[in-house]
Amino acid sequence: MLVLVAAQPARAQGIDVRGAALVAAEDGYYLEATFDIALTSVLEDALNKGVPLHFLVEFELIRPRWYWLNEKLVNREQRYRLSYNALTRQYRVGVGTLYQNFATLGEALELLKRVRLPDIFEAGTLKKDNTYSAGLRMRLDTSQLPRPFQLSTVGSRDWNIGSDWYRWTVAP
Amino acid sequence: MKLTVPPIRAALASPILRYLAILCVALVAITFFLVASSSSNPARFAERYPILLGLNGAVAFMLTVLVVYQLVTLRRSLKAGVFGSKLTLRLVLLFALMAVVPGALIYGLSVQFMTRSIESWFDVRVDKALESGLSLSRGMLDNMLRELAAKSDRMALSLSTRPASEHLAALNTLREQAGVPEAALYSQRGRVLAFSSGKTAGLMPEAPGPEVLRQIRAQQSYQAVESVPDKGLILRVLVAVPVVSLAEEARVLQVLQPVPAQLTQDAEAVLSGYRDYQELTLSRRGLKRLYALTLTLTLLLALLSAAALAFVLSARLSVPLGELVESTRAVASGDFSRRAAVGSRDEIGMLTQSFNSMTLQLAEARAAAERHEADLAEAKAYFESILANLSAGVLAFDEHQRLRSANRSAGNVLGVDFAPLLGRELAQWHEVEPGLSELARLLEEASSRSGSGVWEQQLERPHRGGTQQLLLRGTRLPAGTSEGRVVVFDDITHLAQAQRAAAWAEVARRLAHEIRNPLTPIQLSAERMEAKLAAKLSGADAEALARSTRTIVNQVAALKSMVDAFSQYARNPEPSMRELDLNALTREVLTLYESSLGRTARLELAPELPHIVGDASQLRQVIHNLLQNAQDALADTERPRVTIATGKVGDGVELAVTDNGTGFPEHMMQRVFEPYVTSKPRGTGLGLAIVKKIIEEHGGEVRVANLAPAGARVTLRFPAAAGRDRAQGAVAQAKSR
Repeated sequence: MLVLVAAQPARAQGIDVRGAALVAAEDGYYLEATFDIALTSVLEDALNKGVPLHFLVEFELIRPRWYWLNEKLVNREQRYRLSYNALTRQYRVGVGTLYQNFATLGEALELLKRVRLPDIFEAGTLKKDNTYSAGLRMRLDTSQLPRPFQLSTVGSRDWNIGSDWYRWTVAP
Repeated sequence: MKLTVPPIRAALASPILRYLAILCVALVAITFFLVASSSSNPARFAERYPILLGLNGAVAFMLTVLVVYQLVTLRRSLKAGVFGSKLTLRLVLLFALMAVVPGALIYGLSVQFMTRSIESWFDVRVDKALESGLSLSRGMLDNMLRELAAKSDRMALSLSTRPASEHLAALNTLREQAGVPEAALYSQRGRVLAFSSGKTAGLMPEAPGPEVLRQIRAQQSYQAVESVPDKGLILRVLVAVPVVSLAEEARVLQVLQPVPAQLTQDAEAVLSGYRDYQELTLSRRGLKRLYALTLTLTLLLALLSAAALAFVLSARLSVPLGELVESTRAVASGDFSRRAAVGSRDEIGMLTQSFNSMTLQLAEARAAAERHEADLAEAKAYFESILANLSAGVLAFDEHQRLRSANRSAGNVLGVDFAPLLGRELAQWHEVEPGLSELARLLEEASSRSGSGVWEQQLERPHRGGTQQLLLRGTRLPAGTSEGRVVVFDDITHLAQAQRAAAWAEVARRLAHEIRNPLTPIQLSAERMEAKLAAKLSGADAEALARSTRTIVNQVAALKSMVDAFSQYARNPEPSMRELDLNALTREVLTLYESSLGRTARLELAPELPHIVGDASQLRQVIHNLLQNAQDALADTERPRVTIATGKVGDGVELAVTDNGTGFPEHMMQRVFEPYVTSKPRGTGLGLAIVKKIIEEHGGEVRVANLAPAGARVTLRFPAAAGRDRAQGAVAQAKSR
């Protein structure tokens, strides 16, 4: 039931999926994933000057069909907001209305590196004798950056950090 | 030469490019709509900025494609040397220059200005002030935090001296004393042991996290300023309550105090100002790039639009010129029907109009010239036809006596083809046409003799077995036009004959009149004389008288018959023409000669002979005369024979009377038809003259010929009745002469 794929070597800068797994719970599945996150100096500078960074975790579950387009069973996004308060000198990671403060950037990133998404889909979604393909990635959502940044972020390695799609096969 | 369609028009005519242009316009319209609809709302504008950028980029790309295509087409047409392409190139360059120079100026200034103004936002002093404000806020918060920490330490100290059971009451008291809105006591594991809150406090007794508790366990205090959404800044201090005995469980005191609202607001304001400023600093490059991109795109769009417009405008300008050139070429090749369309009221339009009127005038002038030429040609043809149909022969010579032209009648009259003589001198004529040597000599003499004057001369020359009489008139053409001379000549043979015949007729009439009158008295007198004297004379005298009287009477009778013949010749009765059968007429006349000719006469009459038109009595006279002549000629012949034959020859009818008599004397052959020309001792010489006169009045002709070894033949030829009109025409012609 637990499908894990070997970890990939970490990159110097950027985001990588180190590993991901779907874990069956009582009434559904939850996702457990670990990432390697290393902010570029430009991003860190921007963060420390008060620019909030939005990280987007995207998950999708696909049933491959040879005779037609693949069926997309699950498509879920989770947004994390990493910000720095210069007044209180605290880093904050927010998910929705929830937040948590951290004294250092490392502590804040530790939270982002270990992602757990509960109730990602119901137990009945996966049918026996079928194989499914799961995909996961995390990227910096540049569209949430202030407007003037957006122009300079287009095509810039310093601003566009994100992992490739990390895919693994799921067989119930 | 055909002019190709102007390249620009062709470029726009290409459907793909037209669609491209339409698409461009549509995109520009969308862009304008987006800009207009979002100019009042900066957020929406920012949201649509990428779309706008993309749209403008697409427009710029399409315009580039358009312009490049037009340039390629222009280059091709320049190489091909198409008319108007140079003008197009110049106009395009001009328009492009007009767009580039001010555009580049404005662009440079704008970029410079924009860079300067963006840079001017960032100032070290502002930076410093904001930093200082921030650290001021921080310092103040730190101070408050330190104060709170000191209070907390005191509270923890006093709490440590009391037993656990009193903690709740003590905490409340201590909190009141310290003036702290909220205080809580936790166990080492984070369980709440005691909680005290002031009346204004709505704060949640938030449990410290494991990290904080770990820190506390390590004998360290935790103090932090936390910002809680909706509640502003909160000072949180956690201290470990000192442990008196080892048995006692370690406790943690947490004290919360909100930062005053005013202070929070001010700090937040400073913070947000600082943050905005930092954001701005960070996005400085992006902003510059944004404005530069916008400006560049605008410049590019303006330039490309100007270039594309330049092509269209130059095409509009050069199209009428191209049409004008096309029309000019058409005019040059002789087509005056082309009219260039007048499309505008400017100078080009005026030029086109002038060209059109010029073409019209040219066409009219040429039409007039053509008309004139046609008139001339017609007149020439008219004169030529007159010359050709002139019965007189006309010969034209140049100044070197060379024949330049001869009309048809000249050849007909002389029975000569003049074509080989054209361009030959008179002296050479006898080499080509020996029959004309006499004429040539005469003409040479006349021209050398007369000089510039007009001369007139008659010439007799042998022609078709007879003598032809020509009347020639020569004149020198006036100097200046074309040197040379013209000779006009007429065949006056018939005229001379007619004149002679008329003269003889007059003589005959007078002779008849003058002689007839005394004849009867002479005869009567002689008879009377015999009657009176016969009785008185006797013997030989009576015999002599009777002989003399007889002689007188006989001679008078002969004279009378001669006078009758004369008067018959002189008489000119109007012939009564009607259709008749020549065979029947011949037989009728021959019956009168049954006795005299008898078996010597033989008839060879062709059956189904066409009728002829003629006067029966006159024709009877003709046949009489011919038979009489034959009879006379056969007087001394041993075996006399006369053959009268009729036959159809061509579209005419012939009657031939052949005898084997003496024939015509050779010296008389030329003048056999003239009156008083006779070989007979007692003939009047009028027989054949009368025959000829009558036959010519019938539109026929007479030929005489001697036969070998002996004999003669007279052939009459009449037109058949079918050719009656022609015969009458001939009669009329004969009369008019």
